Amino acid sequence: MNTDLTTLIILGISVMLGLMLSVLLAVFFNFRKKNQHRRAIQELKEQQQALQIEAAVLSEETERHRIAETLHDEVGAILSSAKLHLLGIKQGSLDEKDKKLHEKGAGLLNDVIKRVRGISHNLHSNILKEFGFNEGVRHFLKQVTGGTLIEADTNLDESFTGAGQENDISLYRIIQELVNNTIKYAAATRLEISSVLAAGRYTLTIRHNGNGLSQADFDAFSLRKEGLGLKNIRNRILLLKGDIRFEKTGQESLIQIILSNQTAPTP
Amino acid sequence: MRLLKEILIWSEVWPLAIALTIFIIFKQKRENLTLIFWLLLTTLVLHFTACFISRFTYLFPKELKKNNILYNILAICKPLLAGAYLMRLEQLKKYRYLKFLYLFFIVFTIINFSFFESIFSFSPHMVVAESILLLIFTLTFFLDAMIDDDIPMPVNHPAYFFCAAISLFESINFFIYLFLFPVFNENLEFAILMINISALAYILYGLLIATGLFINRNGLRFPIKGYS
Repeated sequence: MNTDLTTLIILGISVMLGLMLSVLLAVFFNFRKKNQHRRAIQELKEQQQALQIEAAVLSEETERHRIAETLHDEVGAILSSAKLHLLGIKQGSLDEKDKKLHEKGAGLLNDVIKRVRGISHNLHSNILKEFGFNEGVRHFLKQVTGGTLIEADTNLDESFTGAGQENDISLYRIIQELVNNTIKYAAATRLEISSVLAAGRYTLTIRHNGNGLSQADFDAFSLRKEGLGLKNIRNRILLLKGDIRFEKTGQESLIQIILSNQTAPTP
Repeated sequence: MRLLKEILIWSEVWPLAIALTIFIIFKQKRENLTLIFWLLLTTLVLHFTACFISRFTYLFPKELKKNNILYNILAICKPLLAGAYLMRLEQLKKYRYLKFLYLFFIVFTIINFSFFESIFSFSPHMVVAESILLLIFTLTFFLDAMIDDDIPMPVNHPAYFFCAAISLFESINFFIYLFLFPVFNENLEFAILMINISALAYILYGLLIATGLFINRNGLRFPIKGYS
């Protein structure tokens, strides 16, 4: 009787404890597995999102390229031909009134040709491909602020030679959008684009004296349906795996684009 | 050796005191732990009184020497407070049978002490009822955590430590308390060994709850000099 009871108690405790420990271990391993699974799904989602953004950006670039080519090759050619025809008119046979109209027409045509070429260059950005990122940014800034009251300047780190062709285009488009927005909405009179490459970290700063956006503004606007330009910026930043920061300090507004894992060329 | 003996004698008290101290000192990230506080406080007071009576029996008059009533009150309070806490968890709200079991336990307690057992003597019925109720609650909690794909709460949530503490404690002590008195009459040596195992279960129980509360801490409730 004595031994039976002792055995029963020892057996009972062992079985119960073993059962409970098994449950606890099962819960622990189950949690670990679920967490791994959840992380894998999250990674897959992020990869999918990056692919979607990449596809959208690529199709946008292709479309820009197509429009730029059409403008340059077709519209540009027709306009040049129209100019030739216009210049072929003998001025001597025109009276004063027609001469003035002729001059006005030729002036307007020249203006249209210049603008079409400008748009085509903006969309295509051959300079970016041929002369590199820094030169592309300088050329764009000169083009966009030339003939305006904005005092523009660049101070770019020459050790940064680009982040790869696709990434350069994305970075260039972000700058284009930000500078255009600054001119359009911020009423800035001074604008500077500078960059620094240090310890594998590339920081591009757009500094202006206009009424720029704060980080909260950017976060809010870029999530709105109508904020297409800012949404594009957000997507391109995601694609670049970088970071964008907006800051307003007194009279000055700052926009910083930060890219990690960038290397300077070895001398 | 004497110190170890004292540690084991007071094993029902000091681990609970550590857990309660952590609760009082540190703010908790998840603040729906009021019932845990009351559980710790109630059981600490009852266990301390029971241990004090058993340790210093010679100080008490004959009618106050028995501490069975305190263990019976513990067997009522513990499942009621722990069950109430677990039932309030979002994870277990959907299991309606837990509410029925909880009500059944209350009815069973009233009937048991009214007709079958005296509240002043050790009640094996209550030990079994307490263990069954708490094991069903904790097993439901763990099984739900395994079935649910959403993982509604992190594994370091104090509820996991609390359930682990209760389930391990009950699985060890269930058989010990159920057969403690028959074993005392038949094999004193083995009975003492069982009491020591039970003491270790109490230590495990208190320290697991204390660990859960410590992991869940979120700064001090009041400034303490030298602690940052």
